[in-house]
Amino acid sequence: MITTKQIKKAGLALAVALFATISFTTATFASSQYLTSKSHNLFLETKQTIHTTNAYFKDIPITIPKGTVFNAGSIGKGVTTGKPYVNINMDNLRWPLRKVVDESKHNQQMTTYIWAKKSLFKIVKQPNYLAYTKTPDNYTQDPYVWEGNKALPSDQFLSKQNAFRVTDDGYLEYFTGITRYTDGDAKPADYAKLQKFVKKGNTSYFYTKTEVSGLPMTKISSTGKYRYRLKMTKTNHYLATVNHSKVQKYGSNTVISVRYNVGGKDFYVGSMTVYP
Amino acid sequence: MKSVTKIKLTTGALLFLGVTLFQAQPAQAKISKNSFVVTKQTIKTTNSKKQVKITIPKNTPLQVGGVKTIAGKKYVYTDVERLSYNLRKPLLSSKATSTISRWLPATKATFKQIEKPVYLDYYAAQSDGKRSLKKVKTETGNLWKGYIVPADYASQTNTRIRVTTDGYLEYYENSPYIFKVSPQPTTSVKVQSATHPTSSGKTILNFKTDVAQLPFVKLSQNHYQLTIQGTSYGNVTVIPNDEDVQKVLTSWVSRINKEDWFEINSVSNFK
Repeated sequence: MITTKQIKKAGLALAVALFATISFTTATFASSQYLTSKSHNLFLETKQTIHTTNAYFKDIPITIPKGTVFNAGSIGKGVTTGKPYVNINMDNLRWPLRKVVDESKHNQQMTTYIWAKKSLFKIVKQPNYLAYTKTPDNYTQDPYVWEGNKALPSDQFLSKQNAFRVTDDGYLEYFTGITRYTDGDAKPADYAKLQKFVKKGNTSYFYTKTEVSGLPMTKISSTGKYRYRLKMTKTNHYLATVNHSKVQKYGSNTVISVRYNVGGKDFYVGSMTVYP
Repeated sequence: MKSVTKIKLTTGALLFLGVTLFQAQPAQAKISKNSFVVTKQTIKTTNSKKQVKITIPKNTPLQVGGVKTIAGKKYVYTDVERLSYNLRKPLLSSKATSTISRWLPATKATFKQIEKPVYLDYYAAQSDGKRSLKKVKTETGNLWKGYIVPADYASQTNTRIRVTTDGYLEYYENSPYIFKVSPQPTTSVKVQSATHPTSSGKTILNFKTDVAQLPFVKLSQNHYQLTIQGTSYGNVTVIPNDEDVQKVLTSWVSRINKEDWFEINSVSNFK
């Protein structure tokens, strides 16, 4: 005769067995093999050379060297497998690496899925040379610092302008003739690897070995790694670009720019847009 | 059971008559910042700095300015500047340096929660004070003649109208943009009823008399109507100027008889 006690015991055992099975299945991806992070602004560094390809078309071989830092955004989950993965946005990396996709037929700048394995990547802090791109709500904004007085009106948004930026992997790039709608696939007029970065309050110093021509850099030495320096100071000076709606007397928005003093010249960064 | 039937009848009767001044909320609704209540008894209190006496009669609709809870008991305050002249008059004394009331116990004996009065639908009363990064909403219900606040508004005056929380349309022929508390209006008329037909953007206010300077429509001997039409237009004013931004005000445009009136509905401070 089976007692109630025996049934209860059997039931409990069954429950434990089931639970163990469930835990074991999900534990595969919570295990030490894969990265976990809830950040939406996650920075990773490659621990070995990665050979991958462009997303969807998969017709361009892409090589990312060991030691490359990039903004992975957030870790995705494979639809069928549930495995954690990342995509790399090549347009946030230096020109020698992104050139291969930007000059390709499809111009697809995202890599295909790469499993977020601990053997491939390690989590790093956002590099300090990208601090100027951070918004108050911890999202990364447009990293371009534009040459000029303030944001152009919306009807001139397609005008070509000069700008510089620092790539995720630490390269200072200067562009001539890009529009505000650039998504990073433009070829820089000149670029150099960042050797050192120093931030003191609102002033940032970018040090390179070779000059980035076009940028108001100061030559500080003829030898060693730190020969050229770009000084960038964020000011407390805000400027407004009022954009009117189709009916002239009504406004549609106002773009606020923050002035940056770069090597003695006026540059600006978009701050916020105020809508009525 | 009896009380439920009672509430149903009241609401039904109001709807039948086409009068929708304010409606009772279910008992479990929570009193929160920017929600509306009606006084169930006369409240004798003072302003928050205890400088002047304030009396709020029974059956006065109020907007909750803020809420706090101490030892399980809820307290609210209201901005008396939003109420009609007779109620806010004591604030005009030079002694008064605040326009908000003291903390009032939020008990069932004192307040009953109500829905936002329909006569306040012409502006986003419940968004007042909401912040998004640097932008703070300033939904006070004051409408100014024109379509944009001037950059030198601090030294300017303009014609202003508004509907107080307790249902009075106030007209100010000449009001400075900056004021501590609204003085006696040029003209004040009590709202008898209001409607806000769905998807029309119109707030239709009904009165027994009119204000000569405003485009009321006379429907009968004792029935005058003013319609405030919402639009999807607004403006942005940069202060002091585009090359040096210290703050940005936004103006939201409404129309009364096709003429523009604007509400200064937000401020963003940069310095």
